Amino acid sequence: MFETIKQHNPLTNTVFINKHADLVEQCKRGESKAQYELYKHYSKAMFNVCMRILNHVGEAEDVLQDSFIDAFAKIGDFRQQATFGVWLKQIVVNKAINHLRSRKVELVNIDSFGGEEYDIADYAEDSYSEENTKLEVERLRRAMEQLPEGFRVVLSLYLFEGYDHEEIGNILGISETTSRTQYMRAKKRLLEIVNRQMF
Amino acid sequence: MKDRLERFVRDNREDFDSFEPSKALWKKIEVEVAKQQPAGKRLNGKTVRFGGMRWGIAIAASIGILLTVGYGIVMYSQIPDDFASLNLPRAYEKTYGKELVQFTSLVEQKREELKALESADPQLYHQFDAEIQALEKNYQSLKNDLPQNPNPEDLLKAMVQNLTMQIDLLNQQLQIIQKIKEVKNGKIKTMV
Repeated sequence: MFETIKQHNPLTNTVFINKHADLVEQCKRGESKAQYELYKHYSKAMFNVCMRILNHVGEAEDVLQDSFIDAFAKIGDFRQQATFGVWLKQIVVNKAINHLRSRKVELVNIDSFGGEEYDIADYAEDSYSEENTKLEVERLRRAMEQLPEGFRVVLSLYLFEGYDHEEIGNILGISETTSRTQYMRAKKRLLEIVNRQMF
Repeated sequence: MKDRLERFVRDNREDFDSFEPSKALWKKIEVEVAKQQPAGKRLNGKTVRFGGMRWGIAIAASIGILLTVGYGIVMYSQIPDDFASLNLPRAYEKTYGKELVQFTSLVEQKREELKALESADPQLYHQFDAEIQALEKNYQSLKNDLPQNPNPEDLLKAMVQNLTMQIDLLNQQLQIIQKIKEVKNGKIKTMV
C-alpha cells in the first residue's frame, strides 16, 4: 500500500515525513499553530479525495471538517509508523464512505449498465502536448463525476488513492474479487463516457 | 501491468486535485478542536504560548480562578477563626457553622450601626453596648465550653439562640434610636 501511495503521491517522501513528524508532535501537545500547518498542507488533497468519493461540495466539506477534528482528537494514537498523510487519508476515506452509506444509496449496482462494449485499448493512444494533457485531465475528471457511485468509489480508491483491491475490499466490505471486477467495469464505463464526450 | 489510463493518472495525479475547500472551513475546525480539548490541557501553559486571543483567555481564566480561590479562602478563614479552632465534627460545622457565621456577621453589622450613636449620645450608647456585651460574654463562655463538651449539639443550639437574642436586642436598640431621632426632628420642626 505504501509502495503505491509513494508512486502516486510525491508528498510522502522522506523529507516530508521528517518535516511533519515535528508538526505532529506539536499537535499532540495541542498547539493550534501546528494543527493549522498540517491543515494547510493536507486540506486540498484530502478535499479532493472527498470530492471524488462524494461528488458534492457541501458534503465533501462536512466530511473534511469532521476528519480533521477527528484526526486532531486522535493524534495521540498516531505512532508515525505510516506518514501522517496516509493516516489522515484513512480517516478521510472511511468517513467519506460512511457518509455515502448514510445516503442509503446502493454501492454496487452493476447490472443496470449495459452500453456499448469498449475495449480498454480504445482509450486514445496518441501522445499529448501539455495543453492536451490539461484537457484530458479535465475530461477524465468530468467523466468521473458522471460515473455511478459504486463505480466512482472503487475507481477513485484504486486509481487515485493508491489502495489495492484487498484494501478496497476491506474498506467497502466487499471481496477482493468484487473490487477487481467492479474496477474493470468502472474503467470501461469511464472510457465510454470520455469517448462520448470526444465525439 | 499498468494500462494507459493508470499511467496517465499517475503521471498527472496532482492536476486532478482541482477543488479547494472554502476558506471558512479552518475556522470551523479550529473552534471544534478547541471545544474538544480537555480543560486541564489548556492550563498546563503549553497552548498559551501563541496568539493574543489565547493569552487573553488564559489571563481571564487565571483571574477568575484567583478570585474564586481567594473568595473561598476568605469564606473559609471566617469559619476557622470562630469555629474550626473548636474542632467541631464536620457535620456540625456544616449545619451550625454556617448559621453561626451568618449571625455573627449580622451582629457585627448592627453593632457598627449602633456605634454611630456614640458621638451623638454617649450615655445611651454605653448603656446599650453593656447589654450587648453581657450577651456577648455569655456567647464566648458557651464557645469556650464547646471543645470539652461531649454533646456539642445543645451548646451549639444555645450559641445560635444567643446570637438571635443579640440580633433581636440590637434591632430593638436601633428602633429606639430611630424613634428618638424622629422625636428630635419633630421637635426641631415644631420649634421652627
